[in-house]
Amino acid sequence: MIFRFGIGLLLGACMFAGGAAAQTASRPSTPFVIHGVAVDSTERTAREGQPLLAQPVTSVRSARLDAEAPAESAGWFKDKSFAAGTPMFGAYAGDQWSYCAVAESRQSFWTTDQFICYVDADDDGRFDSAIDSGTPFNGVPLLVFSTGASRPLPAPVPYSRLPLADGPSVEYAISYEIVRPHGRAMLNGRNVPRAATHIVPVVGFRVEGGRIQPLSAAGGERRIPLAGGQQATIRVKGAVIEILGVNNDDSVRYRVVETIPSHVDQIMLQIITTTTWVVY
Amino acid sequence: MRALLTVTAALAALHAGQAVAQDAVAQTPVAAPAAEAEDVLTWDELPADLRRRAEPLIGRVAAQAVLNVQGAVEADADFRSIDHGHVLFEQAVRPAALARITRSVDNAAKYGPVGAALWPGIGPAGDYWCWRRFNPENAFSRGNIYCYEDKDGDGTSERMMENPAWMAQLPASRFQFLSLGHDEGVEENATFQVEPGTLGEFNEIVVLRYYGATRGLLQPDGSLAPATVEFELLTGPDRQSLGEVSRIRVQLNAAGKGEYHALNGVRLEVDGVNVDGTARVKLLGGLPEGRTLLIPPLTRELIVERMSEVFNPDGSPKEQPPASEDEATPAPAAAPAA
Repeated sequence: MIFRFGIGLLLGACMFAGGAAAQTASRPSTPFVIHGVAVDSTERTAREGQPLLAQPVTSVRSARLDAEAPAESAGWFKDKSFAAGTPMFGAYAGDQWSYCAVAESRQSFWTTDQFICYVDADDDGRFDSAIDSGTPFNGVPLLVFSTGASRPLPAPVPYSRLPLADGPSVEYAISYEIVRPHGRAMLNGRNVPRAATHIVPVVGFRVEGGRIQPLSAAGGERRIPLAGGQQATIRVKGAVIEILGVNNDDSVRYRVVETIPSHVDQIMLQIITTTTWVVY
Repeated sequence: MRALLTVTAALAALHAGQAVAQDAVAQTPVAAPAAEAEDVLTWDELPADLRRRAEPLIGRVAAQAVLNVQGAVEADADFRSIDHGHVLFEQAVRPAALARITRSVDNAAKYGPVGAALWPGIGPAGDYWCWRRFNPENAFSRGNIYCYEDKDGDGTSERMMENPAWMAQLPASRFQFLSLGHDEGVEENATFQVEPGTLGEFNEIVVLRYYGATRGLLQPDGSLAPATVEFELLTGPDRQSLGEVSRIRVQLNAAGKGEYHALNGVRLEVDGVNVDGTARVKLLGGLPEGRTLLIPPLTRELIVERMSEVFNPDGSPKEQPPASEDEATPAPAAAPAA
């Protein structure tokens, strides 16, 4: 039997030699709230990649530490504890809520931020264990993918639930990309880019540096024709944005007609792991 | 649109022989219709393309173990307030019958020796008797599930399917599965003898657990409406080792109310959900006592009912609230593992 097993492994290795296998792991995010904002319909200008509209997002549950909590497991060059008052967002996995804070890296070129998630297993208002939950998913400090082993805290740490809008927040934003044919054209004696044909909404969370981490199938990625190369209406999750004009540098004049209404939403988090087999 | 995609995905999964069984697959006895009677379309009013794709799925059985439910659940008289993770019911289940191998195939150590106890399975092609090797020294060591196909019920197998342990969709369960796997290509025929009135050896549980609100428009009072609330139908040896059979999604209307019923007997009524996921729910039914399937075959009535939530009588899609758009998925993060 051992002999057979050994052959099986060897054949498996040979079959995959030199190849790469991709595995997909996915899980739903904790539901979150996109908070509504007042409509400001004044005409504005934005550059490509900048948000036309940004709205705060929180978890459906948040909490605050009422005493200092240890975070030794965060590793080198990271916060070793969280001070009283630190806000935390709720993360739900399996059948358990945990509340997570971000242990920020003090050497960001070398290490990345890390979640420490605290659990109140007996629901007595005090955290009794902590989970090392990895790095923010796609850089969004609200999305937890990993759920590591739970370790008991040296002493229970009290906490309080926070009102919905007071929890740690990130931004949900709508940006755009301009589509225009390659090449240039002459207009009034000037050499200019050819007229734009479409605008493509880009929808997602804003991450460090103001970049938007796009979400697929969130209402973006659709090519919307630009009337006269200038005008279009973007409709995403109830928001309505009128594009009034497109400049040669792909910046746009626009105004927000409707913002995204306050609502709960959820996304699927997906990681594709590529395993490369090498046989010497 | 999202509802359409959900149902379509479930239908597609079933068509592919997978028992993914979203809300379209796990349904109920035809008790109270979820939609108002005047809102329910007829089969002929559904879009032709949808009818064409759905027709072959009607009556098709998903691969699974045949269960015996040890007791019925008690329906709630009133709504109860629930939070994430709340267990609405737990029902004990065992394999619905037992047979023993009377003539084994070659390599009996792998496929089951004479006298080995089999439990009943079912799939799109018919009935099966299934076996799995366990190591009594190690509870975590379990082999592949081998199911002997016996379409004509004559006690002699015609084909053997192998469902590899590493591909198990319910890895914690000792006998339940959601796929029969592939034809193992065993040419010999095993025979087996059913022990009348005897249940299988394994004891497991089926649990309905509340997941929470996954979509919904936030109202000034902190409630969500319209909204989607989700429940998990889980099974396994105990509450610490459960695998998901299906995800039940209940659509709440503009008043925050909704009903759900499934062909497997699960019936729910929701009287509202708050933004933090707490909800008021009434459990109206669970799995019926006795022999049953977790994923009964799809019916025409159920397709019509579910599709009535998606389409207008003229075949055009019903307008969905902004909070009910298609699921969003971040761009996949590639992470080299080795």
